[in-house]
Amino acid sequence: MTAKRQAITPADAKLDIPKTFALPYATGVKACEFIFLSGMIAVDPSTGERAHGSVVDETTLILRAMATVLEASGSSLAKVVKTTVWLHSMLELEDLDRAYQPFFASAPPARTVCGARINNGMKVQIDCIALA
Amino acid sequence: MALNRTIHEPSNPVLNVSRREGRPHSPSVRIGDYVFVSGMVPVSPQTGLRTQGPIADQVATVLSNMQHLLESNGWSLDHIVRLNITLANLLEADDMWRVFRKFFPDNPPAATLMGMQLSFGNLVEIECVAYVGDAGR
Repeated sequence: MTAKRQAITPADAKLDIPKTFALPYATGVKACEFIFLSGMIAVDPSTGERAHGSVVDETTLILRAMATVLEASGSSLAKVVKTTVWLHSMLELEDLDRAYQPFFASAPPARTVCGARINNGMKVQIDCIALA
Repeated sequence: MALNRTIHEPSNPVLNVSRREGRPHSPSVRIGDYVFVSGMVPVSPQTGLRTQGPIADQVATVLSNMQHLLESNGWSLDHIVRLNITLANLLEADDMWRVFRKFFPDNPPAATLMGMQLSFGNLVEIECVAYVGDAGR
């Protein structure tokens, strides 16, 4: 059997990171009850270009975009079950949380934070698994 | 609802690294319609030794071993919904994507790239989640 992957493509092309940067993966894939989003970085919603900023700035842009992409697929941040956050420096964990917390005010999802290098000098990258 | 967790291995015993090296993890676990594949590093399907060549070769080895693991159980690369790719050196991202494209030429899965230290001098490690539905039952 060949399964047909059900790609999630943002309606707003500026939020379609793999398309903007010609990378060979999907923004997200829907698989039955779950949606898997690729790791997202901060992009300027008016141009689609990388938006380098503070950890707070980047986190806010990413989670706003994540909300938009999920909502367009019939899901939402409230339906996220797990996120993974890659942070350029664990010394900035408090800044991450400051920007992250308002998006998940009640019953926040499971989360893993790793200190890691992120491509192109970004400070934050976040992926998620959400209920479809 | 009780879901059964089942363990799935590659049919080539040389590639069953977690078992062969007595590691406390399984090559892959199925729960319901989903399969979670542990991080895989480049291992030669002939010798079982790490293949420490250029990044392009290492990525090709990992993805073809991942294909073998999936196909050993009645699944395929087409079932993969998301991959996490760790590179020891992000400067090699372009070479990684070049090989990645060959394995997922169209309608590719979701993917996340990160740069982290890897053990034993490996340059790449890849894990994935597959949605296999009823396949392989």
